[in-house]
Amino acid sequence: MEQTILTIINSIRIAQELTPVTELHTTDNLREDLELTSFDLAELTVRIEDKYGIDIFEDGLVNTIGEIYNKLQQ
Amino acid sequence: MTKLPENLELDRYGLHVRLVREEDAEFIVKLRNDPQKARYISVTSKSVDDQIRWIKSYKERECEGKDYYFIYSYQGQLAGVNRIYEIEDNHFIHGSWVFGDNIPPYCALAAGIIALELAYDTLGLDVEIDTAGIHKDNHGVLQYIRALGAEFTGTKIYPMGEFYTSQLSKELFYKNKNKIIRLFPKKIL
Repeated sequence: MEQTILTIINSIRIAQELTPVTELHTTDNLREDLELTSFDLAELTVRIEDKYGIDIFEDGLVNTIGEIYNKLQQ
Repeated sequence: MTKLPENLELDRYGLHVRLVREEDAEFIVKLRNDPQKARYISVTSKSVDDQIRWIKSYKERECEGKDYYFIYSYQGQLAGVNRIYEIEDNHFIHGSWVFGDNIPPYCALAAGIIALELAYDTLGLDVEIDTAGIHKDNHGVLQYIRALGAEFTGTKIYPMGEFYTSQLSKELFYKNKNKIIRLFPKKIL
């Protein structure tokens, strides 16, 4: 699951001409550390929902990679 | 000229939309003075009284059908703002677009679609001519208008930096708006 999230995030970063990251940390902030815009976060949400059937923003805010992992492990 | 009703209330894409009121002044001041949000917008006074004066001027232009300032709520909480303004003949500008981070990210995207639908559908306008421009580092908004197929028409230099001007026709908006709507959660579609 972690590798899948890394792949999705890097595909979004590459589309925005940002350098891919080699690894993700649970404390990485989606906006500040990974430089994702609202547009990117919406793309990320849809890609995760398509893959796992879970809307990560459905019942609250998600700011970090760790929070995404938690949503997907619930 | 078609005008939006003063008591506009709309529920669309999971958001509630209405026109600005004086009691929104504090929310707007707080939103526009958030350091992250203020990077790409004009400087806003921190005075609520100043903002109330701004709102009064918006409401005067609203009566003339030249300016509509929208307030969006998500699940009962104020979420963000945007505006269609300088409405003249068949064209307008879409801007003053600021949303908080305490809501799902799709909300800001949905607000853009709602404002443009109101401009093109309800008001019957034909083209957005953004002469104000978008800051070159405002990647999220640039992604948005690129997805809609907007044509970049030039650059402007302000003290805040370089801004790109653009144009988006009604035809291109309707051709491409699903590229944005596909990013909305399935439950609201």
